[in-house]
Amino acid sequence: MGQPETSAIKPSQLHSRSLIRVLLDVFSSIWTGIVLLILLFFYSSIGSAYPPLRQLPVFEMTEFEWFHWWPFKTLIALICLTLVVTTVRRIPFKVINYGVWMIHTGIIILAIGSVWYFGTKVEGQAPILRRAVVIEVPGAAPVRLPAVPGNSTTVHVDNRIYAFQISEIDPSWEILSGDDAGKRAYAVNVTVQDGQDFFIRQLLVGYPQYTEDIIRSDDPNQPMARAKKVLGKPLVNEDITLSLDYQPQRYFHVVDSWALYLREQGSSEWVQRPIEGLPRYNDYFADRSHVWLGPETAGTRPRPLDLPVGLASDDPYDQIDVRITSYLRYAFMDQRRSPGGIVLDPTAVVVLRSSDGRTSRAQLVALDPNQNSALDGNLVFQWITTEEQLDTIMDVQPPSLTISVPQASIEITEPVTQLSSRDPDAPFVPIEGSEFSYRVRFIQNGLALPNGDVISVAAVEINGPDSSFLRWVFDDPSRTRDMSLDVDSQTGHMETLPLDERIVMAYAPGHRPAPMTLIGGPEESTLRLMTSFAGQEIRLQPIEIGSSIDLGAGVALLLTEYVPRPRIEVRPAIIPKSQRNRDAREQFSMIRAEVNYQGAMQPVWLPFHMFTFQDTGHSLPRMGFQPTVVHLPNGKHMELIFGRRRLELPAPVVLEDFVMDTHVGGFTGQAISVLNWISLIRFQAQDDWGEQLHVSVNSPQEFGGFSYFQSQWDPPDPQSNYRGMNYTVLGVGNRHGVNVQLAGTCLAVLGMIYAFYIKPVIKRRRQQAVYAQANAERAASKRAEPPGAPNLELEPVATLKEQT
Amino acid sequence: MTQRMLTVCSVTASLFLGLLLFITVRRAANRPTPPERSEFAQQVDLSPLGSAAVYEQGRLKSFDSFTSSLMKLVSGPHPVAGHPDGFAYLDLMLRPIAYEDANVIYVKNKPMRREIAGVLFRSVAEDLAGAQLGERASVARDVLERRLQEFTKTGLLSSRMLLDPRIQQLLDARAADLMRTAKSVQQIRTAMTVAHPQWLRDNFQIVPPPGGGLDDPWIAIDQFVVGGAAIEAGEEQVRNQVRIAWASLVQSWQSQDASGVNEAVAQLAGVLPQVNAGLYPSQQKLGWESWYFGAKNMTWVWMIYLLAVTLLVMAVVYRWSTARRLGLSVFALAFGLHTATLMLRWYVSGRWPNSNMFEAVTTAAWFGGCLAVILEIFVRRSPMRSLFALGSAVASMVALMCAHFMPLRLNAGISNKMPVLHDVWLYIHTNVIIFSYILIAMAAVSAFFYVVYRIGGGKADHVNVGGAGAIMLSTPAGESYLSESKSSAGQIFDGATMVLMELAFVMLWTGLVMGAIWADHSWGRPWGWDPKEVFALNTFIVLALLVHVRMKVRDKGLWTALLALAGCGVMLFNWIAINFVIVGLHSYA
Repeated sequence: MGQPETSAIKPSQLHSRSLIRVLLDVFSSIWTGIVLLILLFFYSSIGSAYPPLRQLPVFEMTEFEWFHWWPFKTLIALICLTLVVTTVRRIPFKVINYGVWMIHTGIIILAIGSVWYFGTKVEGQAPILRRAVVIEVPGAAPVRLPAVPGNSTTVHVDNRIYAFQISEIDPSWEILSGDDAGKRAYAVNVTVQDGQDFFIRQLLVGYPQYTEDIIRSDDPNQPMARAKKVLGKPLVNEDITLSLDYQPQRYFHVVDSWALYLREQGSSEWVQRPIEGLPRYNDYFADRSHVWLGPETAGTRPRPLDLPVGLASDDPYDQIDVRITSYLRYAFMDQRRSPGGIVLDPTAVVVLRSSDGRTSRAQLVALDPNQNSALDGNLVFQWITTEEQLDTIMDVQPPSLTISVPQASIEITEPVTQLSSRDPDAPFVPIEGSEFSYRVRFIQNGLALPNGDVISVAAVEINGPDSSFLRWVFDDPSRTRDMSLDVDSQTGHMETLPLDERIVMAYAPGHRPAPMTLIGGPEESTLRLMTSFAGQEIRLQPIEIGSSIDLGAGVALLLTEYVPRPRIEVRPAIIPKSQRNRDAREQFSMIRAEVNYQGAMQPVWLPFHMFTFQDTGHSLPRMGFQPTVVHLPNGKHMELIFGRRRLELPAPVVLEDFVMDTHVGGFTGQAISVLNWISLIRFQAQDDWGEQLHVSVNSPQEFGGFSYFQSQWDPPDPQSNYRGMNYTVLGVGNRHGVNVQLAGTCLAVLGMIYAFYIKPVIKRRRQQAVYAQANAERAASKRAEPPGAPNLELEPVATLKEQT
Repeated sequence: MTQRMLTVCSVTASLFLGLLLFITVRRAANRPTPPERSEFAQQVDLSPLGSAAVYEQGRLKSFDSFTSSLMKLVSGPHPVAGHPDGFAYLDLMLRPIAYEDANVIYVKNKPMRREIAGVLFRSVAEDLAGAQLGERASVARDVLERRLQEFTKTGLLSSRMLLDPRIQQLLDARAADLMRTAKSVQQIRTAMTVAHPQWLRDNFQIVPPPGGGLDDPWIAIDQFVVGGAAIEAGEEQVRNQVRIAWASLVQSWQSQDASGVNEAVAQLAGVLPQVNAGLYPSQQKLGWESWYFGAKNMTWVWMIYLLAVTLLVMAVVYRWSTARRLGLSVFALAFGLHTATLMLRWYVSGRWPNSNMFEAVTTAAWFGGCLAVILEIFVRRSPMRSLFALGSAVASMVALMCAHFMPLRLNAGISNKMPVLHDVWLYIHTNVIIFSYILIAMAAVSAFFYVVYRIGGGKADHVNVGGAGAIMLSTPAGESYLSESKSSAGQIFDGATMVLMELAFVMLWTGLVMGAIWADHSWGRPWGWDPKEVFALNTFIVLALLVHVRMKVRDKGLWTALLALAGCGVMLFNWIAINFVIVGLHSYA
């Protein structure tokens, strides 16, 4: 007979077997499961309810990253292991345990599905513009102009220059005549300038037959008229062909990702270099001199960063090495001026302080027309090179009207001293020798027009021999026009009248210095303050840094800085955390990149871009796009963009139409008045565009392994007369393993119902069967027992336990 | 029950009721003393206008519903100068001078109130000192001090004081702090904007677009009467009638002529539907909406629930059958009114009420009531009877009290849903989730009783059956598993807790799955680790812990009760803190 079997096992094998047994015991313990569940609870709670923790510099994690970090994955793996071992070892697979088996199996299937789902998850956004205008001019290649208001381009043919600009887009233009009267279409108006010729071409989506031009007319009631009416033909220049075409989108941008884009200036294709390991929530900079720090951020300590940006595959710019040395979560580029410059560019900072403690600070740059005034033009900084210029500044000329009545040979110039808007009882002034009288209703000087022109106007009420009307008299006489004094009840506007040529007027806005004018020069050290308040004499007095001048009414002006030759520095100003908009996410972040080429290094700050467009013309309203240019030692210019990683869509996609359904009363400017947003899209299929897909809120569509859902839209902005609806932004994401996850969760639900509600019924039926059997046996034995035997009704406990 | 247990139960119940009383009295004390209403205010009858339609952000509301939500923006939970909302709206619009220095603007944030009061007091004191008024200065300072004390208590201050440049400067500074105080400043500025007469006039969109369709905006009455809307020639007569009625209303109001106002109101209410009868909503519906808001959304039903709670607590603690019968009757009455309220809201809003916090909380409580009614029928012969009704009564009482006493947090206004909520899954997912929440809350009530029972020296008992479903069934011998004579109070409380917790376990998991399905087709992903999702999962983890801990520990009843209370805590954290404090994808829910 041989030795007992155990004696043949070596001690080391014994040890490993006992270790396995210990491990199996540990992972089949319910206590292990309980401890793991408690750990999971705390891990989830901390990560979700207290974001500052996962946002600490040591973590820098999004929610997604926190829940995909190794401790979380380990916890889930251990829970699954415990579930498997416990179920197999401790829960016999029989009818009454089916519920537990289903729950545990369901959770493991869910975990497997989740590993697949989250392991392959890609999610992003794709902005799609509605249309592009295709411009065809004989002798030149066709040009595409994305349909965004304000977009412009020029086409050169020999010595001729054609200028095109999208002047207006109406997403819901009503067709007023023809067979389609009453229907609405997406309308794009393109301003065309061909030398002296100017016209607006209106293009309607779906109705190319209604393409027509609008031109200037001689009718004062209708300064712009349809070419069809004026010229008898719809198009002014039939050689110029404009049409609307889809504007395909090839890419989507991945959420919570970073990338650096670069290209040589003039190239249309970006090279994408993914950035790995960039922080998200905290500010990193090597030196305080790299940024502007305010009072609230003064205590921020430098925290250096040195992150190399890897090359793209087949990177054509592989000689250009880029390292990221700073990251700011929330900052904006700010230009500040400090002493030490060479060029004369006088800069002053003044503070106005009122007796109730309110202050107002203004930085003024005398030679910069955009920065030489503040407080709505009430405070101005002017530079003089000779003392004589001072007289011109101090000269006061009241506004005046030059009036002529040609038939009566009258020409007079009268100052404007009274306004009927302020004094409704102001009398009409008769024009001697004529039947006309007038009074000025109001004047408005220095009005800036959208095209950059600055105009002044006087509204003059005129009583003529046969009618009364309102004349808008501009400083540019070609703009002067007459209006009816009555307001149209239908439109709420005043009707334009033919210009009454019996009386001619011209308006001169006059001149009066601003209430507060800081005058520098002719010596660099000379600075004076001129005050010119209504009803007071003009005063001129010297002013120095730190000196405060009482302006009356409890207001004092203090000069805090004056630098005639400043050094201009542009750095990012870090916004204090308390002033950061949480919803802005990474929108205001930026990096400092060091571009190294042939031993030369150039640092540049690159602001974050949500989307990397082809160029400014392809960018979308509200989505800034401004590549930063770096000049290389070899004379080349490189454009750089810091943004999100972009991936190619399965096929280019176009936006056929965009529809907004609203509640009663239409769109009010609030999302709550909207019922749904619908993007009608098409993907490219071979040589054509495929079937139309409706993507709307709660109704995504599938294509090429991705689902597409409605993410953002282009809302109107009534203040800037922008009608919106020019693009849509679709969410793009894959969903691998979702069905596996669903199967697991449903199995778990069934298991719970089984364990809590079906199992008790099964158990009771078994108990009832045992009782019935026991009672039957008792009845049989009773019949067999002799009369007078004791009646013992014992619970069949053992049998019951066995059965249940 | 032992004498000690009875004492503990009685003391706990008394403490609970005392706390309720304390809250009610304290709130009443913080309510501003309304000024005496003028004879005009008392005589004006706006009821004909109450059911006129007013347009607001894509929705047609009754005048009463419209003014109810708007006036809350002005003076928060307090009535504007003690007036009904409709009267206050018109008075602010037509007699703005009367409110220039009236304390009607509500400042919600308490630290902000103290800061404003401090700045005002210091600056006015300085002004008074500079004015050399002598004795009168100290009187004026005392008056101001009292007024500011009242302000810090009630939160109400006048526009004039808030427009003080020093306060505006303070608000500008606080508005820059987006993390902490910007929202509070926004609330104050919104209140001031809404109280402005021009804003009230511009938003009084009470005239349907003449000849227009559903997509055309409704017109403010001022704009309509001056001819700001295109109108067919034949309809000019209607416009004239509106013009005359409105002019008469304005004139009578400004001259404080109540009979003139009443006449003009009736005339206006009669003529408005004629402007575009095809577009005008059903008068019956508007009438009910007006009634519903006039009845303060019937949140006062909490008092009937309170009575039911009192009686049912006595029934459970003392096994007093008369109290049980009375308690169940009162509970049935409260539940009936609660059901009527819910159905009425469903009717007037045109959708099942579960789209905002007010609706979610009150509907969840109603779900609890439905379940309690069913369970009470099932267990009518079991010693668990009355416990489910008690759990539901407590949960409903607390829910309706929250809606009643926190009208700003739980805004009862009816508005449109956000576009993303227009989906059938809103009704499936949200209802299942809130149902599970109310189950957890009801379970917490019986768990609380178990803990009190143990504190009172009760035995470490628990029900010993596999699966709570068994507790609901009878034994093979046809008896209840929990018998009146053999079961201890501990077993009864533990049994009720298990019945509710196991149902909550299934419902919560199912609700989570349904939410994931909806998220998958709405946002393109089933799970996004949003705080609301994570804490719903955390609540489920607590329930899973309860199930497993119960298997291992000796004192099963106590651990079950404690974990049921912990689950309720996590659920409440998810429902309150996550919704109001932590920003996430579910913030609109």
